[in-house]
Amino acid sequence: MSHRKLRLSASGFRLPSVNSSSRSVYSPAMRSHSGQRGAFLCALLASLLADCGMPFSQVKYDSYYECGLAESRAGNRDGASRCFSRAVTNAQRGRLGPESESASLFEYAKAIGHQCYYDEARTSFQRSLELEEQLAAPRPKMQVVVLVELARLDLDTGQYTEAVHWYEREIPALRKVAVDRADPIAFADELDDFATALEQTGGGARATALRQESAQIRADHPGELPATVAEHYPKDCKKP
Amino acid sequence: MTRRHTRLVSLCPLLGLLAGCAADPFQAAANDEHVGRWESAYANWRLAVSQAEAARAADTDLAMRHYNLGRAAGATCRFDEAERELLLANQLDTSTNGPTYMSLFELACMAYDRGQWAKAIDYYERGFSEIERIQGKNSHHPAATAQQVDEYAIALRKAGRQADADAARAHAVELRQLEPNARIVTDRTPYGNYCAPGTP
Repeated sequence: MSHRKLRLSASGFRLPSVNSSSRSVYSPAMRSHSGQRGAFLCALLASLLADCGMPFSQVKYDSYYECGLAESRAGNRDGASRCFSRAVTNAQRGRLGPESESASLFEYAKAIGHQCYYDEARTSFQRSLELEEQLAAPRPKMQVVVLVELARLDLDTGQYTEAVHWYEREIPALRKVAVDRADPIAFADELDDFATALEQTGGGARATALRQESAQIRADHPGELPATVAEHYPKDCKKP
Repeated sequence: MTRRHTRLVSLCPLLGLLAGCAADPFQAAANDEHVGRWESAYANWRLAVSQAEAARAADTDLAMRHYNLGRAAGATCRFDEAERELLLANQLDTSTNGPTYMSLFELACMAYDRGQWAKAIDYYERGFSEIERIQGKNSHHPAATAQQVDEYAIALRKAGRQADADAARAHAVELRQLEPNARIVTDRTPYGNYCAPGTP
C-alpha cells in the first residue's frame, strides 16, 4: 500500500511569502559605473566565497553524505554505508567539527545496523551521542533520533536491559521535542516498544501503564497513521 | 589599476568571507528551530522582527515574523509575549488576506499545552472557521485538519464536554476517510518545554 506524506501547513514553522524583503548582493549600478569595476569584482568574489571559504574536505563530505542519503532512499544499505563511511572519514580528517562527524556517524550506524553489523552500529551510535552531548550548543532533536535508534537496536537484538536504559532517556526526550503531539501514533509505537523491553526485564507494572497510555493515544487519534514509520533492525540476517 | 584599487581588491576575499558568514537572524532562527535550540531561536526571531520593522517590511512579511517569534516565545515559556505576537500576526494576516488560521491554531496549541481547555476550544473553533472561510467547506487537506480536530476533541473531553468530544472524534474519522493513506508530517511547537531562566 502506498502512503502519501503531507506537510501540514496549518501550524508549525512558517516560511516567508514570495515577495519578502530578500536583498540581492548585486545591483545594476555596480556594473554600469566603470570606476567601480573593483567593487564589482569584489562583489563577484564575495558571492563565490559566500560559503565562508568552504574547505575541500567539506565539499567532499557533503558529496558523500548526499550520496549516502540517495543510496538509503533507493534501499541500498551497502552503498549507503560506503558513502557514509567516507563522509565520516572526511569529517574526522578534515576536522569539520562534531556536528558533521556526529551526523555522518549516525547515518553510517543506521546503514550498517541494517546489514547486521550490530556491534559496530552500536559503537557508532554511542559515539554520535557523545559528540552531540559535548556540543557547545546542543541539538535536542538530533540527540533524540540517536536515542531512538540506540533503543531500537538493543530491543531488536535482544539486549533488553540496555534497551530499557535507552528508552528511559528516549521517551522524556521525545515528549520534550513534542513528538507526542506532532506524531502521536509513532510515539505510541515507541511506548509499546519500551513496554516490550520492560516486560522482558521484569518491569511488568510499568509496561502495563505504558500500554495503557499508548492505547489512549490511539483512541484519541482514530484512523491516524504514523508520519514516521519505525524501521526495525533485522533479527535473523546474514552479513553481506 | 591604482594602488588604492589594488588594496581594495586584496581585501575582497576577507569581505567575501564576512559576507558569507554574517549571521542572518532569520536564517539563524530557522536553523535554531530545526535543531531544537529554542532560546537562541527566540533571540534571533526578535532580531528578525526588529530588522523587518526598521526596514518597513511588508505586512505579509511582518506577519510571518511575528508568528514565528510568538511560537519561540511560547516554547521558552514567555506565554504573554507569545500570545501578543500571535494575535498581532493574526491581525496582520487579517488585513492582508493571509493564512489567519495558522496563528489561531498555534494559540490553540499553546492553550492546550497549558491545560487552558476553554481557551484552546475557542481558538480551535475560530481556526476551523477561518479554514472554512479560506478553503471552503471541503478542507484542502482533510487528514491534516483531522489532526487538529483530534486535539480539539481531547480539549472538549478534558473540559467535561464528552458528547461534543465524541462528535468531534467522529468528524475526525470522516475527514481521514477522505484521505485514507495520508501520513501527516507536522512541526509541533513544543510550548512550555524550553523555559528560559526566570520564566514560570
